[in-house]
Amino acid sequence: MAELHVIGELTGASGFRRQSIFCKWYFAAGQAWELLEGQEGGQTQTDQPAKGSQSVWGHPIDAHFLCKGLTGWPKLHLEVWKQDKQGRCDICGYGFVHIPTAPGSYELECATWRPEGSRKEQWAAWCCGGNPQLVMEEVVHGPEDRYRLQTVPGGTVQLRLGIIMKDFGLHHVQTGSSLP
Amino acid sequence: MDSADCFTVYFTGQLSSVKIPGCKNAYCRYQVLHGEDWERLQGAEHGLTQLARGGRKQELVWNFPLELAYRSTNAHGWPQLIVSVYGFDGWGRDVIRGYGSAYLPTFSGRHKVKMHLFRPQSATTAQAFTGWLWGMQAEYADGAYPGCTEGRELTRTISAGQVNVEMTTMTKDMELYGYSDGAQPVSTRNGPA
Repeated sequence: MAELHVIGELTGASGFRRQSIFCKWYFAAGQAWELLEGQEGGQTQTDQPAKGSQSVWGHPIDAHFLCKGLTGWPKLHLEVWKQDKQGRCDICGYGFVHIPTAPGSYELECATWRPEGSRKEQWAAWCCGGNPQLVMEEVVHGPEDRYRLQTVPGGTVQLRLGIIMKDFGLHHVQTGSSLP
Repeated sequence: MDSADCFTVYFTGQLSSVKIPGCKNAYCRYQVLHGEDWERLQGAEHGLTQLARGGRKQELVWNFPLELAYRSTNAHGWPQLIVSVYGFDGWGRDVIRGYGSAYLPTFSGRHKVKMHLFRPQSATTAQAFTGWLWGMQAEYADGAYPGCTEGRELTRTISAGQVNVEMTTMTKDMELYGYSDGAQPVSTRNGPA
């Protein structure tokens, strides 16, 4: 069976103004995939950027997957939350990235979004915090219809990932070149 | 030659420079962490650079060499570079400027890595004030902490500045071991010959 290594880090984020933000992440993969080593998910520290710089997490990711079939290729589910001075947390953005399907070294960016909510909810969120959240988070990376969802953009999350594959060639899987 | 019982990875490079807003001097303590299946063959996993000085808007240059060789049987636990940047404040006290971490490049070839820095925030305003007064800002007790995932959600950090690292990765016998890091066309690998 083929193996996939995802080695890299959640480097940081931009476009979230100068708020204290953190990121919750986890791998979402199909049933043909098994995580052998490494963490399935985690949460970064809460970082506040200095003036003129971006948020930095430098959160390491080192995952080792066993692949029994190509369907359900792993995705990284990302949620960016902000924390205010009182320690209250509020959603700022949801997003996902596919793990690259060819070996190599990648700098990825994930633009995020969050539900807009009704006028009343927006007003309440402006007044006392509490942006509308998703009840079913699977909608972020799943194939479900999103037609009833109205969203606003969040910022961008940056990742640096190194992909190493083992025995894909032995199983006659062509991944192509990682070069653009 | 029985070369498929392990593969070798050879890293060369340098901690080239650092840029932190408003910081005129800095030195760096680096360490490299790796997983259980990895064994160091050669090179220093810990080190200390010189104290680099420069102008307020200049990059501070270290040009400090890194050279490491490892052997392993498993790509999990890939070596990880952790830097702790310190400097002297106006009173000559040694203060933390930032921490950063990054995995060494997994893709063979030359890479420029920007390591963005962050440092922990004091838990309370009173601690922040006394820390500022005595030049004892919040630091991590364990220098390896920036490279760990556990307990990370409990800390609050401030980020500023970046360390520029240049790294070259060379791998040996990784294809024989069934691995592909992307440098070779995938179709040419068919396991050990």
